[in-house]
Amino acid sequence: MSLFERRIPVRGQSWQERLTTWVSRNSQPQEGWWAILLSLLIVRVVGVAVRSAEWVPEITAVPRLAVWSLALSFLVAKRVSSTRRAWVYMISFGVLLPFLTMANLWPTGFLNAPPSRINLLTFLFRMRSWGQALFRGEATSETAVFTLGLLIGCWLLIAAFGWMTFRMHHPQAVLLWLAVGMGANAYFGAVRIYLLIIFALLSLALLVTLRQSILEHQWRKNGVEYPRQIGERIYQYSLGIGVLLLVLALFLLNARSLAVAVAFSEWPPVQQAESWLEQAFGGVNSDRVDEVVTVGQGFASVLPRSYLLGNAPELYENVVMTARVERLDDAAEPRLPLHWRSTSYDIYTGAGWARGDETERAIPAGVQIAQPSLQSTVPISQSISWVHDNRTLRYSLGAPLSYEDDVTTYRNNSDELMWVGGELPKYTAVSQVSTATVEQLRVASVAEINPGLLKRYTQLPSDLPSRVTELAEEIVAGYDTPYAQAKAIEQFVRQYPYSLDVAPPPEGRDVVDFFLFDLQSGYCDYYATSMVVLARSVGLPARMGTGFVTHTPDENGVQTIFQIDGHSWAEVYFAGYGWIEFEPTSGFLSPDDGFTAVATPDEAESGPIALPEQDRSLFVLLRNAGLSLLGLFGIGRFGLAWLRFRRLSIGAEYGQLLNLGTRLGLAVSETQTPFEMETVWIRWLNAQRMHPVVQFWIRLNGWLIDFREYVQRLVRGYVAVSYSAEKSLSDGKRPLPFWKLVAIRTLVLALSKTQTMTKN
Amino acid sequence: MKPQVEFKANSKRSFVLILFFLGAALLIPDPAWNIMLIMLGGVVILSFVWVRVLERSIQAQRYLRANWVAVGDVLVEQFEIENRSFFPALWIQIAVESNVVGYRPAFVVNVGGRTKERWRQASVCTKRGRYEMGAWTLRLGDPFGLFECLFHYDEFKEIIIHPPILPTVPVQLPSGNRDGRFRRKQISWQNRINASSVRDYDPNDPMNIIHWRSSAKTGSLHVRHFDPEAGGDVWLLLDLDQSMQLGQDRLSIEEQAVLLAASLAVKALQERRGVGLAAYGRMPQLVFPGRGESQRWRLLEALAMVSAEQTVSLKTVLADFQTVVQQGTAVLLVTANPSPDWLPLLNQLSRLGVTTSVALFDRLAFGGRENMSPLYNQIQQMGLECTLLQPGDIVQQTLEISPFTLELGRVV
Repeated sequence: MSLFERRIPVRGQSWQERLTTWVSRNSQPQEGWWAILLSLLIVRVVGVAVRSAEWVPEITAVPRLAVWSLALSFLVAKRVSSTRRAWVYMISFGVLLPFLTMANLWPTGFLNAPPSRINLLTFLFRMRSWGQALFRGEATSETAVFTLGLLIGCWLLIAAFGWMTFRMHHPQAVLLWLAVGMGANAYFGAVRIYLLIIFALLSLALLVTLRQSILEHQWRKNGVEYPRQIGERIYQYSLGIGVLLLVLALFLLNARSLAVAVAFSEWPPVQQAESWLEQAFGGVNSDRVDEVVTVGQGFASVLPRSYLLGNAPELYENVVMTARVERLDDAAEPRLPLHWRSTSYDIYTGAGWARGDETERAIPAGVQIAQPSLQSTVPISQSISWVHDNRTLRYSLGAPLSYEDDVTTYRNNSDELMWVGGELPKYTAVSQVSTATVEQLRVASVAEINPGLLKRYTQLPSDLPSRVTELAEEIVAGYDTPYAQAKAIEQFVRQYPYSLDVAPPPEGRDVVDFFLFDLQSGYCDYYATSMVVLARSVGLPARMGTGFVTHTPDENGVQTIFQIDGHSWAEVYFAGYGWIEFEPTSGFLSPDDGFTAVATPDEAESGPIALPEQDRSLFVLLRNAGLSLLGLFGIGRFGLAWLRFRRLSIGAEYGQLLNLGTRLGLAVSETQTPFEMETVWIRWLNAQRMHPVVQFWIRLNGWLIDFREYVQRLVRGYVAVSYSAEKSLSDGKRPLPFWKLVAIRTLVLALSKTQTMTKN
Repeated sequence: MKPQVEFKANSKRSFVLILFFLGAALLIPDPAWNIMLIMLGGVVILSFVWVRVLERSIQAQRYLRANWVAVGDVLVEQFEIENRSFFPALWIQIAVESNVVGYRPAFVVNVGGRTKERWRQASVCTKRGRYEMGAWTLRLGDPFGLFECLFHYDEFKEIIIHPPILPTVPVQLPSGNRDGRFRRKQISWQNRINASSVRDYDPNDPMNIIHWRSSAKTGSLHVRHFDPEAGGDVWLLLDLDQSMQLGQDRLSIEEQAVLLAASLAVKALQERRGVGLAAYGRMPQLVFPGRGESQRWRLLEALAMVSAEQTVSLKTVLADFQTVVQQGTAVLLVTANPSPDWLPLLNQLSRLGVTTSVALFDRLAFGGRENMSPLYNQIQQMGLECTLLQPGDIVQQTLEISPFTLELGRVV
């Protein structure tokens, strides 16, 4: 059947042609195919988002139920006239189907056993046990009720969305509810941002499409004349608005006011609610990791098990604690550490830091905390007053030895103390700090280190790019002692410029490799992690410490520590002297600075090696250059074409059509009258054949293919200009807008190619 | 004119959810809330601002090209919309409540930011009468369908659609038989155009016809003596008895009678004769004879209004008309009444010195059952002029009137 003869049935059609003709004739929905397609996509995105949040194992049923819900709402919207009856259907199915799904009551096939009563009883038992636990005030990890509620909620929301959409009755409110759901899934789960962006863009597109359909339906019904270009203009402006808002959203992606958030999180009703939710839905999985916590200086009371590098920390000048330090041994001049340590991290994952299983041990007040016996250490006392939040984390200079209150220690499998927790916000601790000199450290040997400790703290991921190791070896080349090697690495890393405004590492990319070779600027986490990984690459046992940097005491000997002092650093283990802090972050005080007793190693006087070149391989360069050129060419070509089109007179456009016809081998010539040429074109267009699927798709998008109408309008416009008093056409009267003209001409050329190939 | 403006939010719950997103973004900060707040909340806020700004920036006016038109003419109305804001009005739906037959403009336009656009709407007038171009409304909204604004203009204009004028009609105008010696009860200024001589002043003469120069010469008052037109005044008497009507719309006897009367009236006026009209319909129209342009509009307006919606017999009409008509004038009776009952009254009119002729519609040809030929013969036997009219005699010529073409839509 001809592509353009839409209403003329032809005998001998294939079943595909008959089907597409039937569908396009009889199933032209009022709201348009685009609206249905967009609705389906939105529902699909919502389903994927909920599933990817992985709240509970049964969540996989959501996408399927969502599509069923949309299908049912479509049928109900089209076939049931009474709103009340329609909602009875939708709610009934909305309760029944999730219940059947949850209770596993679906028949699974002829060969399998029918849904048994046991499944139902099991599900009811699960619900009852959840209720009983809640009634008794106990925490429960049962997720049946949560899942059922989630499925019913999803069903009803999507049914309402479908109903409003297919009835063309202002679906924006339901869309916003769906947006709330998407936001909640993204907040608590691990839904990717791009899904949210797709959802938002699809929602905007659906709103515009439906609005257009509703308006045109009303106009047609009331006999209102309207120009077809209005729809195009509305789409153009909507697209512009969508892009603008998208850019704004991406620009303000991480905008937030932490002070308000902290105050809210500390508000007792919120904490109570959280506690109740934790009790009632403890079994529900939430992948949410507070971003503030992930950078190490958060306000949450629960320590993260993982420490991912990503967005820059957002720290404020809020006082978090005050501290007074007293030396207990006047004989020695202690080399005071520069950091208040809270936690140490030992496992590098490639994406950040993690800690293995830990052993919790209660240490009563005044009881000594077991620490390895080290040389050159002195005890110091510190009185700390934590004023920021209710965290249980303890901070100390060096390794803590004892507390004046009850604390809990957490040790890894190697019995290394990772962190200490305590209840009281004010506490006094005694810790040991190293007084080891450079000379002492220079002679320390790796061979003397406990092999277990050495193995644990030289761990690196197997997929660490080899160039990191190569770089580390290059850095330490010529340095013999572990201390000199560590200092060389520290000096090298300190060359990178400091910046909080950095892009997060791409997914799956090793953060150290990304920092050292691509990013080449960052904040303390990147520096510390890089130094630790580089040190481990050359066999030095190293770990990352987190906490705060120290401050100069005031006249009363009190240090005031701010939230903005949150920091991370590297520590290297030296046999006999324990963990020695290094400061690889550019611009931060190094342990060498201001400590005249500690000299810079002679070996480092030659200065660190130069930073590696940023990742600019020839292929990348060529690719980028090629893409840039292609982009520039495309933009230039498009711009030129657009400019030409702006200046194009109707006569010139008519001439182009004539040339196009000549190129296609049509019997057109300058001696023909315009209407004769129009006839030739229409005959040619009517003779075109296409694959039924393509044809069906083109019919759905009649605006794209209607070249016949274009030819007619162009010819009439040309005749009007050439043979009447009207000498120029304004923009509003052009036969077609530029983009549509380009699309149609491309299609015509494609058609002509197809025809040529068929002939051959 | 200031319109009544109504701002409408299609979904007020949107604001609540935007507040939710805002609260979430503040209290539990996360990029997810930021995206939703900015992309969806931004659309709501932008749409709100857009429509609110347009509400204050749109000014619309409407002009009717003429206050009167004739059937077959094109009724043209121009709409002018100015958008003073930066935001374009992507669609503005304009709807006019008009009771003009065939003219109820409803169209959608697009007005860019800081521009003024004009559109013309037109329709060919198909039915005479007095009509109202009533209130009109402008409806506009944002591209996402969240907000709408309705401008309601309570503006009423009256328009009269006259019957059309045919260049030729198949009926001759009767000639009057009066001369200048007759005194008239009503003397209109139109009758004082052709002053031929002077005569002595009569106490009943108005002061403004005194010929002062002659009076000064002779020492006694003289007045100007006017010569009436040779044809004299002519009355068009329309029989609009509802029970006598046949046919529909333009092919109805009523419409053709009105068309005939209008065409004859204009023809008579062109011949500088005084023309009067008597039509006894829904609103009895009685226009005394007069001349000139103003009389033409009076007659056409009266003819535009007449309607055969009353049952007033022709006998009653003729009896009443005898009290109005003057000796020496001519009367053309236009009727489709097949009964010969009214012939004596017509004869009586002739005896009063009124030249009478009849335009008789052939009811058989109009779908009726009565044969008008006997009546026609009777009238001719009375010595009166009579024309038997067939449907094609007048309508055919009416259909030949083609509306002139006019560029409609957007005025560049």
